[in-house]
Amino acid sequence: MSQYVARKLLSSILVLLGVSVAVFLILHLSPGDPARLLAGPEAYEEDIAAIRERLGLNDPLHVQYGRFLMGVLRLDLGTSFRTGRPVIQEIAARFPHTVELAVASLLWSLPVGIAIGVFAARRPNSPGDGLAMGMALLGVSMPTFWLGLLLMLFFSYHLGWLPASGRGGSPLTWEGLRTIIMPALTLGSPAAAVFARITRSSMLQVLDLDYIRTARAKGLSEWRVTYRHALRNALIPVITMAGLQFGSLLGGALVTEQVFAWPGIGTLLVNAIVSRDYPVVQGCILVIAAAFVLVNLAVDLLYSLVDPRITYS
Amino acid sequence: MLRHRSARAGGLLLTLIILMAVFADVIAPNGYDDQDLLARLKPPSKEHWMGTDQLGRSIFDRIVWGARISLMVGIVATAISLVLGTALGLVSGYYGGWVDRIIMGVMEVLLAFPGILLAIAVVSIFGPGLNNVMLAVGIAHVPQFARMARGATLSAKAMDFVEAERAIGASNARILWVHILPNIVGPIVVLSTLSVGTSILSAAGLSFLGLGAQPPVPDWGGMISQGRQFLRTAWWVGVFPGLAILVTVLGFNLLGDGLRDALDPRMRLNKNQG
Amino acid sequence: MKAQRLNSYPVLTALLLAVFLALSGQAWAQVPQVLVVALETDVVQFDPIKIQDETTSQVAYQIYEHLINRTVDGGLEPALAVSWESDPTGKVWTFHLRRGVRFHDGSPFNAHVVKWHFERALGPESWFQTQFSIIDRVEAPDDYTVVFYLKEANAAFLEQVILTNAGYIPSKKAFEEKGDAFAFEPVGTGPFKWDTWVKGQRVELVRNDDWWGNGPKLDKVVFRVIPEANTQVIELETGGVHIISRAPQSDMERLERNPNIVVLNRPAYRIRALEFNVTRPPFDDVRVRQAIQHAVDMRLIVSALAEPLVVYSDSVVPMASWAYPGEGVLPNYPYNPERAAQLLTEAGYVRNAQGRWVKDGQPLRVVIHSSDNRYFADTDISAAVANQLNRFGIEATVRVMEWAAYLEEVRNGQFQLAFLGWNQSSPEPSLFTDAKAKTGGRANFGGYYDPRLDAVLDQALRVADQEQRKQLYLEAQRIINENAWFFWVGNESRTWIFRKEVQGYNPSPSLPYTYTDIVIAR
Repeated sequence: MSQYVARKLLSSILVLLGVSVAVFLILHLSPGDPARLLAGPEAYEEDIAAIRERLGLNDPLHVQYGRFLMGVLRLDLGTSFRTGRPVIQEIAARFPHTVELAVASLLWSLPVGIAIGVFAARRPNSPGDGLAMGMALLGVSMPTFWLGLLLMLFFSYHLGWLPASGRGGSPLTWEGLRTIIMPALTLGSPAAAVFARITRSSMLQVLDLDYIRTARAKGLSEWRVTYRHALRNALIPVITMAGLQFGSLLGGALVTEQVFAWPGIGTLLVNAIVSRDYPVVQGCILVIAAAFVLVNLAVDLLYSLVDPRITYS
Repeated sequence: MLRHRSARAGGLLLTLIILMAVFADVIAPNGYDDQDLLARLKPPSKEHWMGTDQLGRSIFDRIVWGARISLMVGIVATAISLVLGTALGLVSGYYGGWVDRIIMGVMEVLLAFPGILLAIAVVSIFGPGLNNVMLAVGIAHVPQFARMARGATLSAKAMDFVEAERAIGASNARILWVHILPNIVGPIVVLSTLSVGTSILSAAGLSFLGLGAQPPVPDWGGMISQGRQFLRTAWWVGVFPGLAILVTVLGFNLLGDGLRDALDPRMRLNKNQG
Repeated sequence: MKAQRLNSYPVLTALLLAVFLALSGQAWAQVPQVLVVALETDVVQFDPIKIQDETTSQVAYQIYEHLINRTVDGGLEPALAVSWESDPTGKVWTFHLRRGVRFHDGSPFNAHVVKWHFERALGPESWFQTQFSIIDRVEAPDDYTVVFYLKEANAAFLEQVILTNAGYIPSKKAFEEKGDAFAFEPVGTGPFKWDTWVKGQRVELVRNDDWWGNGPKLDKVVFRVIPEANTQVIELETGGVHIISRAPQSDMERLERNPNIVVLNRPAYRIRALEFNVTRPPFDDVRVRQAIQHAVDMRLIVSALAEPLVVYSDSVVPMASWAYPGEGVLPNYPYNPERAAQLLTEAGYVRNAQGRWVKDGQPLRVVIHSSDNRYFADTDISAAVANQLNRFGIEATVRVMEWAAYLEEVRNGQFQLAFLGWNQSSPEPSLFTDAKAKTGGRANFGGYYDPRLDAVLDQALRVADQEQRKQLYLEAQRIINENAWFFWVGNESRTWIFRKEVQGYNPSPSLPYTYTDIVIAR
């Protein structure tokens, strides 16, 4: 087991290295001059040239990449071109909010999605199934900012129950909780829909397996069969999907963040891309990729808890 | 297969949309850029029954023409990921060893890489426009196909008849082409159908960031994101293209689900038992 | 006893009531005056010699001050300098500083700080090095006098140096003590002091009780980062913020009807135009440039798609400037398809059977470059222009690009016709004419070159008399329009949308404006 984890970690590091090379090349191949964007369209060419030189953008590419990589080894992601602050600080100011929003979204969408999926699987092809799956399809196909703005118009503008936007502090406080509700609902809806669909099809498969039939034959109650025996095994693909969803939510939810003025890493990343703030882009991508890889590793390990038959060597 | 209810419904929806795309010049003969600045943001009426947009163009006309664009985006992007992903997955699963490790490593990198940056990168390197949006969305979805094809290849490889072929000295290409590929077609067809819908949605998300078709070409995602600023004053600008996407994605999803049920023997068994 | 006690009830009640009223009255007065302002983006950093974005500039202006300020009507008034003068040669500018002013960290404001600051702004760290290179040296003959020696006479000195972002005077003590943190915890002399910054969310400033001026009346100003325009509007309507800077164009009318909300629109020093690249065909021919303008009804396009946020105008000098002669004075090329056809025919084009204009068998094709909402309605306006050109028989398409890549292509001259803007915070005409149209000007992207114009512009900078300058700039604007280098779109306004209870707010179209006079009514 520990050998397996070590091997996985090693390959994760290689993946991250690959990601960093890719980001670096993409950034430097893209048109757009960081110095010019920094100094603004009204700046003079001479000042722009001086800024470019000071940012080290005139060095050969491999020197710049080497500098970045050496920094990463010392846990130093460099300094933002735009603000002059360490990239680590910029990310630390936002990434926790991305994590809390992702967790909040998953906290409601996973149980709700599984419940809907089980509900549908117990009565396949009935009107109830159709309604549940229709809702799930709506959830997948609805543009995020529509949902966000509609929620905002309803809960803030018409009812006045929730503040329209912003983050009111830790979600464990009343103010914080009030501000995270709408973003989490918005972000979690498509995820809930995905969970519902996967749970349904996975349940349908499992309910058909021999041991479930055996359990039924033994006269166990339908409730016990569904929840104690079938669901446990049907959850494996759901967990995989939950891991993938969580991993991609950690990449920031740009549209939700923009609509609700939520200070997450998605907005930081996009602003950095737009202003060609290379160190911030590299830092953000590395952190996002690392989070993604770690979550998937954790999911791998979770399997063995849910399904004891799976072992690692 | 077509007896399956959801596949039938999905097929019907898609047929309608495809007909709309094919006969766009008959249904909306004025084209998609028929501006009338004196009739901007008019609500739905007999004349323009989905209203007009901020440049006074009929939204219905633009949705009809936009069907061509959105279907093309979905299908071409899926084709890119299908071809690349299946090929990589086949090779990876069949040869195993270091080939497998390298290909799957690259797929991991791609998976861990935020799609937005990929799209912005492709668009800024190759210039703006629909072709590059399709390329970006297509590349982003390659790992899904690669993983599925690899998994299916691994299980097909373990089957007796493949072992037998090998024993009599058949070439790798022959084994891959004649024996393994047909065995993995089922799941890949299903994934492709679902992927067309996802690709349309991804491309719409990119339009939200200003990476989409060049004006005045109508793409539904771009139309929704323009409609955003009129949400509270002229809802029809964004709502109708939104419905168009919804119906199309719904169609592909229904078809995909139906195909899966029809192609998966276990599921069919389940159906028979009611 | 009993009766007495009973009798005392009213007294007691009255007493209690009085105490309650007094307490609540006090509590009433103690409710802090907090103004909440929405920002589109987070602030960046506060080292004045590196402030480039408008958001940071707006927040910085509450904390730092200039030597002199611009007034709402475009004039000048004393700030950290009580008076100033230039010598007859126009090369020596003397400022007499306000006495008794202290920075928020308690250190005194004096001529040595000013000299230190401008020398730093002239140095290699500065992003204003080239702009400030008109300065030869800065002297501080005594504690309250600062003298700027210029390399040559420059009538626009105040605009180019003193009133810029780098003209904000920070505390030298803070710079020396804080090191890198200097840029993130600004210390100035202004009406508000730095308090907290929650990155990506909000910035909070508190009142500077020791400010030299009158006020401020607010206890606190909170800037909240809200990127999405729809969200800003909902926050305003629900009272989450007091002031917003943008709303979707279509919401403006609805907001204007809202009795709780005030909408102000003032034309700003921001010009918008489609700029021709005159270095290569087809737009190296002035007749083709004129024909394009005659073929399109720009006035209709602007009024339909962009008013009131963009107002049609016909010159490189903004309407709000003293140097703008008024509409219709300058030569221009209004919508007139017959004239357009005539000009194209003169330039050697013929209409073919499909109604397309061709020359030597080649159709006339135009690609309009546009960024994606960098300027208000830029994409829509470009699409409308392309549509009208197509109807006229000129094949036109739009190329929309993300800003960074867009700027790159335009700067490299890889365009035919590009939607561009130029923003300044001052009515000074040279900031527009010299940058956009003078040979080698820093925003002259289309390769414009006219020696007559360069001569007039040089002369206009050397003259001090405003009436004489006005005549020279009139001549310059005439030459520019005769060349038809620019297809004018108009002037963009600045918009302020705020709740009724915000009183005493009188923003000016040029940036810095303070919140010193604001009171929040209840």
